[in-house]
Amino acid sequence: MSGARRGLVGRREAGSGLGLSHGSPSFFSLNRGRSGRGLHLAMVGFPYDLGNVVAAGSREAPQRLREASVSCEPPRAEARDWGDVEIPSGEDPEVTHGRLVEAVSAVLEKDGLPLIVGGDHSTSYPVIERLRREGDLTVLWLDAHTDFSPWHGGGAHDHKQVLRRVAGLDGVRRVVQAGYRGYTLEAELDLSDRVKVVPSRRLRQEGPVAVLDLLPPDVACYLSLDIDVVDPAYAPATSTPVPGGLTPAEVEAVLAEVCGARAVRGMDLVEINPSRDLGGRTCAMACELLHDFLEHWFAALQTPKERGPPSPRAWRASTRLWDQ
Amino acid sequence: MSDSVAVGASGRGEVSATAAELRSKKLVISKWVALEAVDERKAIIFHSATASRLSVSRALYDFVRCFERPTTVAEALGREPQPQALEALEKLVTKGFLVDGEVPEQPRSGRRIRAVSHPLFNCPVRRAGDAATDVAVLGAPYDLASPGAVGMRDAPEAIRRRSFDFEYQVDFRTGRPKGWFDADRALRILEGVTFSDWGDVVVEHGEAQRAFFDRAASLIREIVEEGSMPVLLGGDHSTTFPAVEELQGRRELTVLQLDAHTDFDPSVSAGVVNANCVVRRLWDLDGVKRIVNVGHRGYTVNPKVEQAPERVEILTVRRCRTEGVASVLEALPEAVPVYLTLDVNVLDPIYAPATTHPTPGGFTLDEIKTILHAVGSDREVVGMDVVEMDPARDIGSVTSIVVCHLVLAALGAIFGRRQAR
Repeated sequence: MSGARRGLVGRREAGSGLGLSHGSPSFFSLNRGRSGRGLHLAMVGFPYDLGNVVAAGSREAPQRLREASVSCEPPRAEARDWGDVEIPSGEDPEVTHGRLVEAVSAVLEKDGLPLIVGGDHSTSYPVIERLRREGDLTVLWLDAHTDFSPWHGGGAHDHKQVLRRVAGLDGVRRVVQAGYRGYTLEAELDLSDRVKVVPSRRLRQEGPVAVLDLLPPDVACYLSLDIDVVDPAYAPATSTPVPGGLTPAEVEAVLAEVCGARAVRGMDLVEINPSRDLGGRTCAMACELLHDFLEHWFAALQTPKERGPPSPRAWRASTRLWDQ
Repeated sequence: MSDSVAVGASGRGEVSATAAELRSKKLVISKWVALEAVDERKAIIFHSATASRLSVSRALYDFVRCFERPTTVAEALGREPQPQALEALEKLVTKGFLVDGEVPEQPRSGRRIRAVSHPLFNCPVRRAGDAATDVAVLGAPYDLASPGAVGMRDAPEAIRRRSFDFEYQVDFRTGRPKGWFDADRALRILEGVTFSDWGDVVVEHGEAQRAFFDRAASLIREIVEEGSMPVLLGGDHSTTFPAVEELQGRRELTVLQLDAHTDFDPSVSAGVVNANCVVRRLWDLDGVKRIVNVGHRGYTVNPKVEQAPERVEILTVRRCRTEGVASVLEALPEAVPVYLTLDVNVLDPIYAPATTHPTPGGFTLDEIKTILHAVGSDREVVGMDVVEMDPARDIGSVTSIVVCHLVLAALGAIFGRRQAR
């Protein structure tokens, strides 16, 4: 079952390039496909790993996570598994990223919010690029690396430069990188005006408030979770592990706080390389984090707040989200 | 970079006495010499027994080819040789490329170093005659003395291979090493600190352990005499012994042993140095004034903490966590230099899985770094090693990455202190 063939068999809308193989389980046994109404989280797999210069393998992640999620109880949130983006092998990376943009557009059209399962971290750029057209965004980038290498234009970028491209987008008002650690050649604490960096150590000492304080409350938020933000002891299945990372519980705490206090309009989970896993522990832990995210997002919708998160339509209508 | 030997390098008419002797001596090309490359302008010749490599002019190469059979210089040239030719030949004789043509050549057994494919952090490979650097890295791929464990001979290479993630860079304009940025502490470390990698100490399988120890000690002696700080990559924990034995002969030392075990087994026969008893052997050395173990835990048959011998202090993981890093500093006498030996099992196995003796209840990486920072900043550290790593047990080379972190953390603090003084 190669990545190129996935999505070609089974239920699919015509010409969509997005679908789930007939025999494949769905994430958390959720309903498949895009039928259905109303606000929901649309889980979309993007089995693409040519954007990781170190090691390929994260293209297997969406399917392995589906398999690992079979034993999880279905989340309470309204969510559907839209399947994987079809990626013909040998395709130009820019075209492939374009397919992901189309998939996100299709999700938004159906009142969905995208929950993208990659793939490598270059995945995040097309998603954010499409979302910011709907309204201004802040981006929370959970990652051991700042992904801010110099990028000199051209179409494709890789996982080392993706945040620099993201931070340059109009509509991305603020980026918070959380999880930076270790020894790097250059100092990466001061990246640009729009980008704030919270090293792993500070996040561990101060808790999620270190991140929340930097995310303006009146702007919608996009969450990008690179699994290597978690310590390699818990997440060995990644291409570029960095010791001294967060525990899964610490990451969950951040997800909980951000879902509760900010209007989260999309999320991705990237850089899981199942070929490096140990007894499936990374996939199992990542499923838990996804499940946690779905639960916290659901709980945030239920909780009446004085300044509750607005509906996606309201968000699209204006860039200023809060009625003062 | 290879050395160059040029014909006509000296401008004057006189020759040295040794060069003059060569006039009438029969010389022959050493049987260990190979030709690596040749073109119209130059040739690169290689001595496989000493691993030395020379770039010579084409003219000199053509001249040296005359000595394929034992010949005197005059016979080869057909006339009286120029002084420059004799000087060039003298250099080749000194380096062993040309040898006495009348005596059967004996195999060269003086090699002490084996070249490595990846110098640590991609720092410069140290060659004979190079200026001394602040840090000298030396591999000790010896794993014959760790009971029940094998594989540590591969650790120096595994660590070095992964260390390329942390590339040693020199500023183009100033020529000063750039160092690295410590994200956790938000400061630049090791700026201006030079590194070189001496390669691996040769291990001749089947030789007595003492021969290997002597070879390692002679290299460490050279390193220290040049003023460099030795960083040893083991190997099993017995490789600590020659390093400390050499250093304690010069100055009194405290040995700070970061290790899950005390390595003080009294039941090992006298004179045997293995990973179970290496610290007991260090204790016997006159110059080792004190031994401090940090990280002991678990259930062992070795002396318990309460029965720690004189001059030995054992700081268990629990005690360190309760009393804080100050307890480590208190255990280290202030004015006495420290030798730091780090067994990777001091970390909990979930953080450093490539260990020969996984022992639960270990330190986190952050805790070890805190200890290394405190000690490196507040005591004079004169040498360090990292031992007992078995790369075959690693998970995605994460332990190699951890070892790089430990080396950078320790050196960062040590040289931070030196620069501050």
